[in-house]
Amino acid sequence: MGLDLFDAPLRITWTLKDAAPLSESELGRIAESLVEGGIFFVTLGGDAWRHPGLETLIRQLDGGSVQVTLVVPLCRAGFSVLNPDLPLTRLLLDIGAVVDEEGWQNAEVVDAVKNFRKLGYYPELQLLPIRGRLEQLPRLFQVAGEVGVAGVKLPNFPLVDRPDLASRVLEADDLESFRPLAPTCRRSSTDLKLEVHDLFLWELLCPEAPREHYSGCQAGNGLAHISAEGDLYPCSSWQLRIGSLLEQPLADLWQSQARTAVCSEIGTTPRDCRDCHAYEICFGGCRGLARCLGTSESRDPLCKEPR
Amino acid sequence: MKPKRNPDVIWRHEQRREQQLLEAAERGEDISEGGTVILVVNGTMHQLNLLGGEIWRRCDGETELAAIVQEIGAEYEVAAEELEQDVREFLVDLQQRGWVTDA
Repeated sequence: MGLDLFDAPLRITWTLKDAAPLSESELGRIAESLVEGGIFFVTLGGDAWRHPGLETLIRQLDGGSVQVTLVVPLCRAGFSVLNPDLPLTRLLLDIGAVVDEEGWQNAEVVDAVKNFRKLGYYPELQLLPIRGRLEQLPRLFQVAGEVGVAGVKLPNFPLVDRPDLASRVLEADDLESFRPLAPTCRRSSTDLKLEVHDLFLWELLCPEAPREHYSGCQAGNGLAHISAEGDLYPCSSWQLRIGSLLEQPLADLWQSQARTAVCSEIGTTPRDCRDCHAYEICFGGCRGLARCLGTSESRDPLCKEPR
Repeated sequence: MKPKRNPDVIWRHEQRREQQLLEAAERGEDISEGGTVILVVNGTMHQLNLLGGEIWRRCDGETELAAIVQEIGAEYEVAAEELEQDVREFLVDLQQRGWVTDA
């Protein structure tokens, strides 16, 4: 696999805590580094929605031509703290906390979406597909159609910020159990823009729509992650700290040996994938998950077996 | 003609990669597939090679096509006639894609 190495990431996910440990001025310094690096897309997650420096941060990124996505959890306070005219490219309403409760109602999601619309935002829905939630996907797509959101996102597993989720990362058997439900999701999602990080879950949900432009794991190349402490990682699933953005500019960290080693590792076929005929399709899948839950030679844990 | 980039196209000049490609070209390597400008159009990423990137960066809506040819020709010592043909063909392709217009 040939990798085109970028001067800087194209997309960055950035987790914030609501106040500590990064101050507003520290956020500003990191944002400046991202603007200088020419980052295209930044997704602000975690407690970003209630960080006191959120508005300033979003405006600074927007002023530097960075397209900003904000993830807000579905909760009573979620919509009430947002200023109505923030320059967001996209707002994602994370419904994870709701679907984990037994007996959740579609109306909770519908009402939240409508509340955001009153503020001038048109949220899409997000659900982290950890174990125990796949069976909720048909409901997710049903409610997405019911309230008419434009898209649904199923993001990757954020093991950098939530190492406790490692035991709930999906495995191949989970996908097999979900397989009979996938057609129901597909029928409900025909008009939705669907963004699924995991290639194997994507295959189940969109068997007729191969990822033509997919060229393998983009961790440490087109993709990076910033933790709540301001540390740079290859992606939110890859628990390798490249360095602190409070101590070094992004451009310098991106040229570091730690980062280029990630690219070299991704460019090498893992031992577990060597005899697989589908390698030229998946390129080993999510290398961050494979590495953090196994070794650099492991298959993506959602891959059942070599094909 | 004054080609102008579509403002909806997000793009970035990869200066470090460009430098690496120029060094590779000096060593006689084929760099025609190497990207120096990244574009994101409707969520899909595209890359322009060295010549394409040089043209793209000059599509500011103020620079005439003839000036683009002249500037690039001076930088890379390419025959003007051949270069103009290449630039025209490239711009036609970009126009058809909706990535540039004639200002």
